[in-house]
Amino acid sequence: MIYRLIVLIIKELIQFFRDKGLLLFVLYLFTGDLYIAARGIDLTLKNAKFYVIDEDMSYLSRELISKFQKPTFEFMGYLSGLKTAERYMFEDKCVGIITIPKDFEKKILSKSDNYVGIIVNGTESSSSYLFAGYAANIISKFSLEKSFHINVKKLPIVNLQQKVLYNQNMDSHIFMTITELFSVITLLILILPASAIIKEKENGNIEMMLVSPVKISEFMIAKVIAMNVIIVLGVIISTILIIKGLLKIPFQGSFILFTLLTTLYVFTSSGISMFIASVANNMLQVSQITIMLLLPILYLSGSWAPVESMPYIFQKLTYLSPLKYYLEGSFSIILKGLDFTYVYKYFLGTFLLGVPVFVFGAYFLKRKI
Amino acid sequence: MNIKKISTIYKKEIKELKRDKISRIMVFMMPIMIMFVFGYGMALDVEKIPFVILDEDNSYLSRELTYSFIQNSRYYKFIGTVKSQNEGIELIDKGESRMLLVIPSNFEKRLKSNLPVDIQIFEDGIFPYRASVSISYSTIIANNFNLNLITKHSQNSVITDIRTRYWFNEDMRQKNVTASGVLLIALFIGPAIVSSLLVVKEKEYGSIYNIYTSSIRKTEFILGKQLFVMSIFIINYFILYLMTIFLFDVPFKGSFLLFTFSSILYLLVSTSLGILISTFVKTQVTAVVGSAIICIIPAILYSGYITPVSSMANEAYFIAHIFPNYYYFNLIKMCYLKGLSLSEYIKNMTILAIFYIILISLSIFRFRKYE
Repeated sequence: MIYRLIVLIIKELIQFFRDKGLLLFVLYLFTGDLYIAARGIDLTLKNAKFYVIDEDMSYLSRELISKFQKPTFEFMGYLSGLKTAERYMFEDKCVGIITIPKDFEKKILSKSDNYVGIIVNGTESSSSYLFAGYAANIISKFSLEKSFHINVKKLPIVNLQQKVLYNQNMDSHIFMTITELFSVITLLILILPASAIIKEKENGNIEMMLVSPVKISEFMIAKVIAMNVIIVLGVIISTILIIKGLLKIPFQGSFILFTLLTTLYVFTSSGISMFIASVANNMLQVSQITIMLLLPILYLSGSWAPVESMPYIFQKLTYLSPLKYYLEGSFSIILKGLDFTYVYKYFLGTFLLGVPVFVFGAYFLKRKI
Repeated sequence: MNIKKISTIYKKEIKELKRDKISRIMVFMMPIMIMFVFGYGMALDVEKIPFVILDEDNSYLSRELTYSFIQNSRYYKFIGTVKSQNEGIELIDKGESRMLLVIPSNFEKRLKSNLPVDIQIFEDGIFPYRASVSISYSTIIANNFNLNLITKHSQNSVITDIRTRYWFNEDMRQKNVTASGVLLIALFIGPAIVSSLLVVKEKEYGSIYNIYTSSIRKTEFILGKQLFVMSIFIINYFILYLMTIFLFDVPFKGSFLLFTFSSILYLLVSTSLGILISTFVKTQVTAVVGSAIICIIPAILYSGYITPVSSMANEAYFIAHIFPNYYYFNLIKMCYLKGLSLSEYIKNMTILAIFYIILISLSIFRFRKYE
């Protein structure tokens, strides 16, 4: 029986490698896709383009603008008035505009009340808020410094020193690459086994199996195992080639531990795929159900928005996303470098949620066919 | 071109959908689901960050500072105090806390003797966006604390008043952008997947041979299929539009008619892309995986939905411009938030139309009526 299973698994693998188009897409997902995700996006404020309307044009006003430096900000030039500013904002040419009123220098030096305006493009969701916050901070530091004629460092005030753990430079691409890898794994684990099974259904091969000595459950298990092997192999390849090799993301913890957690996650989550296969009758249905399940799993894992900022009900629902345990566990291993004594709870979470999912998926599938 | 032949293909697909109970529900459920998850989920406001305090000074002033952190319950959630730095960092390791605030033992003494003092925050850097927002909150709290100290100190203190205004989104409701932006994602991924499946399905079943031997021309075949997907997703467009207005309270400043035109054009682009993909692949699973890959990345990452296109680095800036999503997102922002500018509207519409012409001609060119 074991022998038969192995033969079936090998048959599935050969079949998978024969479909050149699919093979190409899967390879791309584990390599090029991660690279593009890493390059494309940075949720922290980077190169935020801004213009200045400076009605003062004094030494101090120019000095203030010089404090807005790269890589956070990018100064694009001076504008003559609000009219052009409005057009530039409309065309999304900048994230914000700083306005400095007349007599700015005079008022600072004579210690009378003054103001600086920040106009933010409210349609750039994540950057708008950060732009306003960072700019306000620079301006208030500057005005403190100038109105007391001394270095701020010597005033009796509190200086905030920050230290960012696990990722000193707050490189977004580390986070983006790894979460993209998790999304890729989850997409494939939902769709590959299900589509392999549906294909047999659609082609009518299931009827053929009924008259052969191979049990249908063996046949299904072989498919699921074969797809799991492909995904785990893909993860190993992309971790070595892309994450460690090309993007040079520091891998603090044990690679074996990460592979183990990945295998556990992949195997247990394939239960969801079996469930999809039991419900669906054709590929159109598989694709729709996959996306319907994929999005909540991704969202509830906390890979888009931090769990603690979600609405209360969603926070509780996050415990139902198997990806949550895998994601937190993997981050602890990869970036924090924690060992098994710390991450065992993520293994336990993946296991406890995954096993019922797997059993139910297998049960439904067996009953349906 | 024969309208009758196109409508035959169209009717055939409608009949098939009527027979397929699950798909019939799913094609309408999927965009609604995307709207729910992204509309509620893409909360980019970082709030309620759990943090702990290590106060080595435990003086009047240090308590005043820690109190201003604890009081800020919208952004921070105070979990407790710790006795040592290691204990605090271990809590971050375990994922129970995201920040540790350390106040040194000479805090009050230094301030009272007119010297500056350093306080330190340790941030969990796993999620860099959360860390950077948290740092900016802390900076604001520390700045306010400093302002209070100084105003107590000197008589003629100056405060530079910072007047911040948010244009196009006066209350800075991120939902206005994230919810209306869902149209960008839902009207791209869904249509592309469904239309890519429609053609490949016939290839995989072998029923495509009926098409090969029939008198129907390939243009008629492709347009019939496209028309079918379009009619499903135009209904979806109306549902999603109503959801943004009534469920998410997004203001709408443009013209509904013009916005509907631009959405139909966008749907033409995404369905043509799906058909083009289907001419390259042989199996349905490849079509689904392929169109998901090709659509998700540009729609979410390179459209300006999450980060502004203007601040992307060269390479990414270029990529953003060669996908249609960026232009449709411009139209969305214009119609919902910014108000209509006719010249900008025409510019973005023309670019979308060019995308459509290129994609549909490529698919007609690529589609072979023989093998």
